[in-house]
Amino acid sequence: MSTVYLGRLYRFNAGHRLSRPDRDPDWNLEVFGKCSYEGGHGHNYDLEVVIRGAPDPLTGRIISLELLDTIVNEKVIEPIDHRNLNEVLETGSTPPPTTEVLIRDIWNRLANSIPSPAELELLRILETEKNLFEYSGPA
Amino acid sequence: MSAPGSVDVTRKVRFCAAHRYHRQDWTPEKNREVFGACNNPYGHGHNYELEVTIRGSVDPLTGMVINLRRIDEILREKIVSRFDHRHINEEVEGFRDNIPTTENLAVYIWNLIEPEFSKEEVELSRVRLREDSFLYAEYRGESS
Repeated sequence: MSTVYLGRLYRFNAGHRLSRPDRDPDWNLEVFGKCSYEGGHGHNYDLEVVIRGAPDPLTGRIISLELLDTIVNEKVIEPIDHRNLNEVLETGSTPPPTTEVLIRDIWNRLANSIPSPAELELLRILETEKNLFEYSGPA
Repeated sequence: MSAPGSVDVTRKVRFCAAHRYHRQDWTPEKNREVFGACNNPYGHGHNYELEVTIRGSVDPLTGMVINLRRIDEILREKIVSRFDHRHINEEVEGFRDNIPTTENLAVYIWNLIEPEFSKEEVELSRVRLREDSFLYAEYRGESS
């Protein structure tokens, strides 16, 4: 059976602030720069979900796209879109919700929800057009 | 694993084609349930983008992994001439009973061009076929 990868793009936006309450403002400013400004800020995130599997001989698909959309919408988009990442991530605000933290949080939300034999292969998040993050699960 | 000093070169080509997801052996209801709008009776189409990645060492004479002109020739002869402005189910051999999903197309395209690059003594590393900006399928010649 051929192993094929399928990438699907989703978009959401969210606010965040990168700051550690257990450190003083100077430390936060030095480490997180303008991402530590008090009121927070936000991004339009592009989330690419890559699924690995073999095309089903009947349907030619490795996963139903409708089902994948439903899963990603329920597990990721609805709980995170238009929200403040400092409030909604499972790690809370420690460590602060960098995209490195966000991508692992999303992995944990999705990894066990993909119907076998398809599997979650990779997540990519574009935070801005300059910042790209990838995660393929715990080593 | 790539050989030391090997470089990946990716070339993109575009073609436009129609397709329909439909199984003759299923009821209309079942087809509709599984394939949704992709089952609409007269088919529909996409502007496909095909990214082909070639892996090889850099020739010290030319500074190239493979001449881009050769990639273009292979893609034009094997892929674009076969798919462009065609109805895949009706006009491309092999899709009467094989649903032309993006996944199946990626594998099909790999099988058409891999021998050509092999003759050129470079390695086809990846085929990525984008149906639109929100969906792609990728095949690396792997089996499970």
